[in-house]
Amino acid sequence: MRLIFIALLCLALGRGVSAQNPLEVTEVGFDRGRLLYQSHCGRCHGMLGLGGEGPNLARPTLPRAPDHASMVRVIRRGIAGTGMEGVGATLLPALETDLVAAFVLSLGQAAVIEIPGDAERGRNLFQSAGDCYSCHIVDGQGKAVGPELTNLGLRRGADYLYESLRNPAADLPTARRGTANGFTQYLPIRAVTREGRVLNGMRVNEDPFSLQLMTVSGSLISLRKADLTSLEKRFDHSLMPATQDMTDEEVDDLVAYLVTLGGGS
Amino acid sequence: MSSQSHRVTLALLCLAWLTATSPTSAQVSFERLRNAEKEPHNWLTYSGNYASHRFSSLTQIDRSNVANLRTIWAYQVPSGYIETTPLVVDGIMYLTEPPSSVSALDVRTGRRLWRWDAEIGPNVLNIGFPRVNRGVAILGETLFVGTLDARLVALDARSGAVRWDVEVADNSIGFSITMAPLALDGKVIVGMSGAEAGVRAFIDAYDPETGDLLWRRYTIPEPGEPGSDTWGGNSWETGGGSTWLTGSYDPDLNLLYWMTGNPAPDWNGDSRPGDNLFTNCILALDPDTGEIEWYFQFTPHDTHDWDANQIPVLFDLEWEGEPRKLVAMANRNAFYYVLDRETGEFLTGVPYSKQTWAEGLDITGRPIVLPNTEPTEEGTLVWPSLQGAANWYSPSYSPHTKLFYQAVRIMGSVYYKADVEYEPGQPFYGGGEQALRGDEASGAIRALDVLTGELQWEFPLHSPPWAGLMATAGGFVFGGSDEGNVFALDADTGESLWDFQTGGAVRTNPMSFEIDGEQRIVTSAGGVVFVFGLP
Repeated sequence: MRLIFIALLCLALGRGVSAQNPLEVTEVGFDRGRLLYQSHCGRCHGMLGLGGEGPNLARPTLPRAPDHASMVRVIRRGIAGTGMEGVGATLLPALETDLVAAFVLSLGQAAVIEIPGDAERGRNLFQSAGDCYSCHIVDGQGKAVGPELTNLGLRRGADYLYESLRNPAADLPTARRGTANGFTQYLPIRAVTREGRVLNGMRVNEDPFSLQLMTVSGSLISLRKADLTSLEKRFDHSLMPATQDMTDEEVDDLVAYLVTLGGGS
Repeated sequence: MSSQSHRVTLALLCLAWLTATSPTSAQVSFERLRNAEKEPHNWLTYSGNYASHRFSSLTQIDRSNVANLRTIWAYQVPSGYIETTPLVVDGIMYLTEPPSSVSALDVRTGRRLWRWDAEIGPNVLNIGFPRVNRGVAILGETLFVGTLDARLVALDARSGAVRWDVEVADNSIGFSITMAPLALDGKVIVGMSGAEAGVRAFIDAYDPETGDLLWRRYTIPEPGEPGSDTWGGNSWETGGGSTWLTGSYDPDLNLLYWMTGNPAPDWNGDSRPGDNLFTNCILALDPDTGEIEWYFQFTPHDTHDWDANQIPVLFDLEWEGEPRKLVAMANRNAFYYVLDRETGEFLTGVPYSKQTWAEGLDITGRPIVLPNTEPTEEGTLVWPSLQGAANWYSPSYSPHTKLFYQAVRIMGSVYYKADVEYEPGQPFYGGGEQALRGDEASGAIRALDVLTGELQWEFPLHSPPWAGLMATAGGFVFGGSDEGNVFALDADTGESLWDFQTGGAVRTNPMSFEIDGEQRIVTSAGGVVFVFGLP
């Protein structure tokens, strides 16, 4: 069986390497990579790669392993100072490491679909009437109240974007790194202090004793939970305005633009 | 002056210097270990005493002044998470650093006295758990540490020099040691990890003077031994049942209580029909022979990786009007159990965290398993997650409040089942999980009535914890969060009395000691050991 994998992999390697899909592995090799991933990595990173005790790997760019060579290096050597330990060659030989790396890198790739809108019209809408820069940063421009959208096209598909524009509360983003890893981002919070002061904002971070909020104007509010009489987490709300006043064509255009961000298709 | 005179003078000078500046380092006899409660200024065993109370009877820090706690000193390790419980013996702190090294520190200042490097290479296997270590044992003037490559090493407590170094098991097929050994009278007990690699695990006793093996108790019986009929085919050969945390000991009954982990493969039980004894058990062992006096199995034929390695807490109280010797455990499977520790009789068991896999326990303590809770190829959502409602970190028991304090994980998982074939030194999982995370999971510090498991109070945590607890006679419970908070809660009410943000996830167990009349509380966060005290 191992010889077959090697033969299949060699055929695949002969077809070249690209940045986003650096190792074009055959279906059999891909399945083998997935199985190995589940055996060696799934315990921490989740069976679907969505994270667990370790971070989510289904991201368009993994900062420490953006390409195949660096992914192999991380699998082999681990990441010092983190829970990510290297898998020695005795446990995962070179070929198997390649297959796991290829599988992991495939997790963050968005599917290619046809978008009916016009991306250029969408860009104009984003920058003018849509007033999106007042809350979002793209390529360094705008304001960081909502999520940065610079690489949005690499991590979000069109279906998700349509849903987000029409019903922003349908699926709030989840943090994939940092101290809030795994938690809902931009979660609307309504807090009432002992003095009766009502505070509204989006959750930036939280621990058992404190809460950090950002208001829609971009101000930070730092709260001690012991100082609150009420704390409401509004999972069915979003502070992003819905696009009810946009036509279907305008939404198509906006989605067509958003999926291009970061070089997405 | 002759060269010999020079040497004599130098030796005398060295002796004088040592006498003047070194902390005292007395023999830690078995009697001292047995009576650890009588010297609360020290912390002599992993769990503080043989009964595993993780309780400090020091009272300088109490409810009224704990809010004034501040950092006295800190100590950093080069990399990795600290999970060690330091020992403190007569002015010296002994702790392990990830993955298996040992350091001795001056408890007044945090300055290092010596360090022994276990020299764990990158090819050393750790299948199914991180490269951590949870502490040392001491007996006489010797420390004992288990290593990631499955050695047991005896170190001179004054210098860190190696007295002996024995291979407990073969790391190349997945055996490792991360636990703190337990020193008894004339023997050192050690368990091991490795079920995720399909090892057949055991508990060993070693001669503390020589490192000779005194006895070995396999946790998976071979054909013909009691319990062997609970395994199908040759599945016992790769049956797991790791022994990866430090047990408890009752010197009066002369019974050693040790815990066993999951059967292997973890999530696919097809190849191992039966209850899979003695996995997921507490074993009461004769410490002189390793014979099993009684056992109790918490999760028969486990397919969720719910090791029963949690700390067994020993206590004596009245049960239905009669004085009884009891043992309690908050199990990874989300049930809290109380057993008679002389006989193993099941007395009570109740859920202490969200669970969706069992209707309850029958009168013998066996779980009444609900249908459709097994892992499947498509995935099956079950609470608790594979990391359980509790894990390796310790509970605490206060003889003052009669409460059992537990850091509780409230988290579900989608469990997957997959085919797997055993290969030596390779993961032997047969599936895995995708845990519900973030806002879908949470945690809590819960105070349970030690006899009934009834909830007395709880303090909510933002996420499932990885840190243990210590109650004190000062009336508070000390703990930590995965967000980096360390905190003190009122032991009677759960009210928060003090908290401090360390900046790194707390994944350790707290302990306490006293030096120069000042009480200290020790915990770790990330790669830093923090020592707190009053100003």
